[in-house]
Amino acid sequence: MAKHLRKIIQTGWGLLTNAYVKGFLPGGQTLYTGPLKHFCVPGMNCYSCPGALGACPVGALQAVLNERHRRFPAYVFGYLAAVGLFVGRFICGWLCLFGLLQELLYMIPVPIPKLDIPDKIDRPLRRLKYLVLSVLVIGLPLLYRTKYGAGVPFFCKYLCPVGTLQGGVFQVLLNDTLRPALGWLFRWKMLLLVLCLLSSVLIYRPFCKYICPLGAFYSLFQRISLIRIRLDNNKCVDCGICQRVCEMNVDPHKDPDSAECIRCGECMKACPMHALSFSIIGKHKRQSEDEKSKPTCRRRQHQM
Amino acid sequence: MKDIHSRSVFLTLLLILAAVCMSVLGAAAGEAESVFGKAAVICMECIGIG
Repeated sequence: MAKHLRKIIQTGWGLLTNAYVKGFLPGGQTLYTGPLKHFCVPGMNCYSCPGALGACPVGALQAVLNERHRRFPAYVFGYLAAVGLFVGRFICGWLCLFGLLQELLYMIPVPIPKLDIPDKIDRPLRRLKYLVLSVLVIGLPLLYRTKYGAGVPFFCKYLCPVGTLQGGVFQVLLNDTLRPALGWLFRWKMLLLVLCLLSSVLIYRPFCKYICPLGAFYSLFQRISLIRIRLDNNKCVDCGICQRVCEMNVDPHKDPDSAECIRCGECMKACPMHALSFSIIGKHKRQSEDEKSKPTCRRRQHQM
Repeated sequence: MKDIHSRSVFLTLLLILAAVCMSVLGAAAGEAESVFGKAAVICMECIGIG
């Protein structure tokens, strides 16, 4: 049970936030339109999914930026900043349905080795998600207007595979009237979705690592969030196990608050010395300071 | 040392409070209705129709 706790929470959260069963029934109401749709869920979850009970934060951000009268999207921005300041990218690791889907795909055994992207390529590619956030989610939806004065949600329209999967596929299957309207845009988005899902079999969470604007936004708060991962230097024996088990290619022993860490906790489970743990900032540091005063000679004994 | 950590927690809590206030003010200014307006109908862009 404890071993699969994260998967259980990810699945439970995914089902809970997409629990509008009526939406999936043929001929029924295609979307939930109740008051919960005023609120955003913390992870990527398309609001056009027939089961969605809440709004997608990335879509909501663009919806406000797209309005004729430009204004700062205080409601969504404040909400996302509060979540980021509280837990950072913990949301990515524990409460994102699309993240779970990618993880499950990565678990599929294949006859070829899983891809380990070389650092030289991986590092610049990781910055791509910040470009997606600043250009497709904020910049263009804020600045560009059609001749009718409306904005365009560039990320949702041209890139988001979550919308294609949760919204597009289900809505097209359930709604006959939408099918004649399908064109090049749907084919383009389906191509991106298929590429994303296929690459997930070989690469761990490729969308989260390289594209996700929500992960990029939350990562800005990793180093100042209230909940963080703390390394107890007195317990750590520099064995490197935490780095080896981390599928996001983070080295928790060197940088436990890395912007790339999704706080899944796999490093904590793997650490033989229990040197890594979730902590509220300040509290754990004070404990560490207290422990530093105690004499210890355990460092590197584990390797010997 | 304790003071620095306490300050760090205090600063984060202050920022969370500011973010929550910002969100509440945004909702009061009608942004929640804009979000609802978009989320309660099928988003043609999201599903790939345009």
